Amino acid sequence: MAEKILSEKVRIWLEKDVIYVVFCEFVTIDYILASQIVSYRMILQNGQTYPMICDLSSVKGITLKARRFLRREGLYGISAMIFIAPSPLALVYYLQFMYEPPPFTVILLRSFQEVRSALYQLNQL
Amino acid sequence: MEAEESKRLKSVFRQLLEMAQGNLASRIERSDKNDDLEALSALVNMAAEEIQDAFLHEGFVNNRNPRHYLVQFLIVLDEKGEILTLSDASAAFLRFERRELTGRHILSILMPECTDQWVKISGRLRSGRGLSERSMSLIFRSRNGLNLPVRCRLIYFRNGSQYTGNLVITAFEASPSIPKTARAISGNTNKGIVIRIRREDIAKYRSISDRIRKNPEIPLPSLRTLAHEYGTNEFKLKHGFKRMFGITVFQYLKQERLRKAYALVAYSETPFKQISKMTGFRYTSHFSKEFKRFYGFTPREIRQNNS
Repeated sequence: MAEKILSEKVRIWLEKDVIYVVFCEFVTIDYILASQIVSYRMILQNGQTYPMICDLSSVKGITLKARRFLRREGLYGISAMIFIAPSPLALVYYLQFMYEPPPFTVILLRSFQEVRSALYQLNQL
Repeated sequence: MEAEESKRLKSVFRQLLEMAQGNLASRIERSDKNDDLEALSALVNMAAEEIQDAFLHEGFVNNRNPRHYLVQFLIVLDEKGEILTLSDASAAFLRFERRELTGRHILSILMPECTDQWVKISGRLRSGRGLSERSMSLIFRSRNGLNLPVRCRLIYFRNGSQYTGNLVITAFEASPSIPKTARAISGNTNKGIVIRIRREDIAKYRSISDRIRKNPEIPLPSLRTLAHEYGTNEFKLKHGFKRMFGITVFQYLKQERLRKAYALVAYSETPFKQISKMTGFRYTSHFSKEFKRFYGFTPREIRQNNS
C-alpha cells in the first residue's frame, strides 16, 4: 500500500485495487490542490483504471476552477466513484459534481462504514 | 447560538439581495459549521461564481471594450499600510463612502484568512529593490459584511518616483451594474443573431456535450447529421450550442480532446504519439501544435515541468 500526505490537506492511497482520497482537515480545494491530487493519483495508478473512494466530510469549499478541473481532467483513469458525504455541506458538493454526471457508476454513502458493501455492490455490476 | 445563526442567515439574505441587484462579485463569509445553513451559504456562493462566469461566455460582457463595464479597483497605501486615497469606484465596490475608508488601515477591510499572506507579500515588496510588482488574491470585507474576492496587482514605488514609499493595489472588477450595461452591449454580440434556447434544446446540447466528453477521441459526423441525430436543425445547433457553451461543437470537441491529452501528458508516461491517437488526433505534429496553442506550452515542456 502506497500512501502520501499532500500538503497536510489530503491523504491518497491505493489499496486492494481501489484509490482512496481522504481530506485531512476542513479544507478548501483549489486548482493547485486538485491538480496535485490528480497528479499523484495518476502516478499511483500507473496507467491502470480503478474505482475511487472520496471522503468529502472535511471539505469546506471547492473553487470554481477546481470544480471544473475535477469534473473533466480529474475523471481520467476512474472506473467508478464512491462519495462519502455525511453532512449537508458535503452533500452539496456531491450534488454539484453530479450535475454533469460522469460516464461511470457513482455511489453516495453517508458514512465510511458503508464502504465495504458499496465495493461489493460495484463488483457485482 | 440563535443570534449567530440569525447573523449567518442575514448574510445569505444580503448576498441574494446583492445578486438580485446584479452584483455577482460578493460572497458570503464561510464559517466552520457543517450544517444546513452552511450548505446553503456554499450553494449561494457557487451560484454567484457560476453566474458571474456565465456572463463572460454568454456575450453580456464585451471583451473588445472592457472599460465600459469594468471598474478599476485602485487603492493607494502609505508606508504604514493606511489608505491614502482610493478611487470612487473602489469605494462603491466595497459599499463604503470614499471618506470612510481614507486613513483606515488596509487590514481593517481584509478578511483574516488573507492577512498573513498580505503581511508576507507586502513586506517582501517593500524590502526589495526598484519598482516591485506582484499579483495576489485578496478577500475584502464589504460594508454589508460580505466577502469580495479580488485578484489584485500590488505595485510598490521606490526611490525616484513621486509615489515613493507608496503601495498601490489595483485590479479590474465587473461593475455591480452589469445587467444594465449588458442590455446595451448584448445586441452587438453574436453578430445580431439572437437564438432563444428552449428547455428541450438545452437537454439536446447537453446530450451532445456528454457524448463528446465520454469519448472525445471519436470523430463527430457533420453538423447537419449531428443535428438530425438529436432532432434539431443545423442552424439551431450551431448557434444554440455556442450560446450555451461559448464555443462551437467542433471547438468543444477539440477542447475536450486537449483536456484529456493534458491529463495524460502531465500525469502519465504514455508516449506523445500514443496520446495523440488516444485523443483522436491523426498526426502527432498536429496534436503538438494544437496543444501548444491551447495551453501555451508544448507537451514536452508540460511533461518536463511535471517530472
